[in-house]
Amino acid sequence: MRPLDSIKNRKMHFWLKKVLWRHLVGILVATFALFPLVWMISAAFDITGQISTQQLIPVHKGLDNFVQLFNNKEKPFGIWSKNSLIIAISAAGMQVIIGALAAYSLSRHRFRGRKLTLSTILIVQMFPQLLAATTLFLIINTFGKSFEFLGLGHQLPLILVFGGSALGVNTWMLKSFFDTLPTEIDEAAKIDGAGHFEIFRKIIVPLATPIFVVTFLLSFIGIINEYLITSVILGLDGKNMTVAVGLQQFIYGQYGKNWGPFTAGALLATLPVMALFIFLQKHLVSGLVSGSTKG
Amino acid sequence: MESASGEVLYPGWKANVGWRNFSSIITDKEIRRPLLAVLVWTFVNAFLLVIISFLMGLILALIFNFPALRSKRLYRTIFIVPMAIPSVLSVLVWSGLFTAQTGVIDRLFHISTPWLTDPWWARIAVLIVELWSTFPYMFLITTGAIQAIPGEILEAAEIDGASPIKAFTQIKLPLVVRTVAPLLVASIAMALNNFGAIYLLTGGGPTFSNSNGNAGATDILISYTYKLAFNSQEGNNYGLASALSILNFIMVGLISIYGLKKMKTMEGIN
Repeated sequence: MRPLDSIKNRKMHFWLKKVLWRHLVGILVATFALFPLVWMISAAFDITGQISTQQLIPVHKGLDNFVQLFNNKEKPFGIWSKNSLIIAISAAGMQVIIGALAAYSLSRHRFRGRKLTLSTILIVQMFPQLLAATTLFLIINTFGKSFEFLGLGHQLPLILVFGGSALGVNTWMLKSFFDTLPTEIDEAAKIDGAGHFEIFRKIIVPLATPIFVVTFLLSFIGIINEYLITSVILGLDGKNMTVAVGLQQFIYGQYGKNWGPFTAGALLATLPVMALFIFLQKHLVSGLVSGSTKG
Repeated sequence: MESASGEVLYPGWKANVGWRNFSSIITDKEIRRPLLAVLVWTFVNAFLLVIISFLMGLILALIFNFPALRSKRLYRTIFIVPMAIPSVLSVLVWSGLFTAQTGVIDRLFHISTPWLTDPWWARIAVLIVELWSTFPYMFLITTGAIQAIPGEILEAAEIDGASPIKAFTQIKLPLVVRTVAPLLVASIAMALNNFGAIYLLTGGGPTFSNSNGNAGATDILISYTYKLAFNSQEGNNYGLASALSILNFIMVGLISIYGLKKMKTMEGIN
């Protein structure tokens, strides 16, 4: 046997013994991870719209579900998408701005109660906002009696509620990033006569743009995903709903589950979010892990 | 709706009841019995989920943290897909897949399982869906923790003759657990409030036959509270719902504070 062959053989042996089973596990887990997505895609293109006859590769393929989705006057998917985008973009923007201001002062200033503030926002964070659903409903109901635009069924109160909802994570994530920026730059700017807001706007913000993008995206996904508070505050009136709440109406109730348009809409809502997530996965993953472990 | 004195009542009307909402939790048998079952499942569900998904994430991280394996990154990208799908939508898709007999899962395996109508199968279905949505996160954080272990420690162990199993149980595992412990506590706190997965998958059901038509086998405190307040056949009981919210708040808070104290996370703040 020539030496090259024996090396090849050994490599082959190594591959069979150490690598092959890892691939098998990988394929198994990948199947589990992709399972609902694959069926979502398959059902979206199956014109029969019956989950009971659903095959992996649909027998009757077509775009009927998408046509149905966009032509439904009672369940306007286009308006829901617009609502979702308005609410998620403005609330996520608010979250990032408030979080950044809080993070700047917690990272750069030394004041009494600073540590207490940091631990308090972390613990408050542990109580998800949805516990307050009842209270929020009653408060906003009361607001609505005096100011109509702040009442139930309007987007502004929901944006305000969400705007403060992820303050804990965002502040910690941004603060741990600000901490890595050298304070010497600030001091140099201070000597040149810059105030705090100028330092924040002209030095910190440009340097921290990547982490702002990550924070914004995580907040955005979180708000797009929200079901409970959105449904409580906006109500279940056709035009008011968001994608997450609205699509559920297609399959609500015991009978007449309309899986076709539901999966078509779910697919349309999922793809952009997923594309962003995978495209930015490196930043998102490091943000998720470091933001939470550095604490 | 009108009150006993004929006054018209609007949603959100108030009456001072003192501590009655809290005391009724203990004294009212109709409330107490389902609530006890709900509480037990709330904790069992949260702890089981975090333990199982942590183990799954850890095992996967150990398997795929292997330099000779190409396409590691491809696998990682596929594994995090569940995190990228809006969970409201994926849970609803799962509910379709779990439909008994006609659902995809039952037809795929040629079985007929009462997934969402039998209490125990419904609980298993809830755990499967929650596991699907949380294992990617656990995979990511344990991978990070394993890669952060200094190579010298493992080399030293190898030189000292530690078997791979010993190196794992005595070195890797303790180090990983210590790194991710605060995240696990946070995950438990989140799992205690995992409203979406439960409410959208089973609606908390199947409902107990002996309760007043509200609580179900897979209900956790938060979904039960929501049903009491906004989705009740017997009128919306905001008072009781708020009282339960406060109890939930205290419960989750105590666990979080205890966990954080124990992990000494708070000491490192600067």
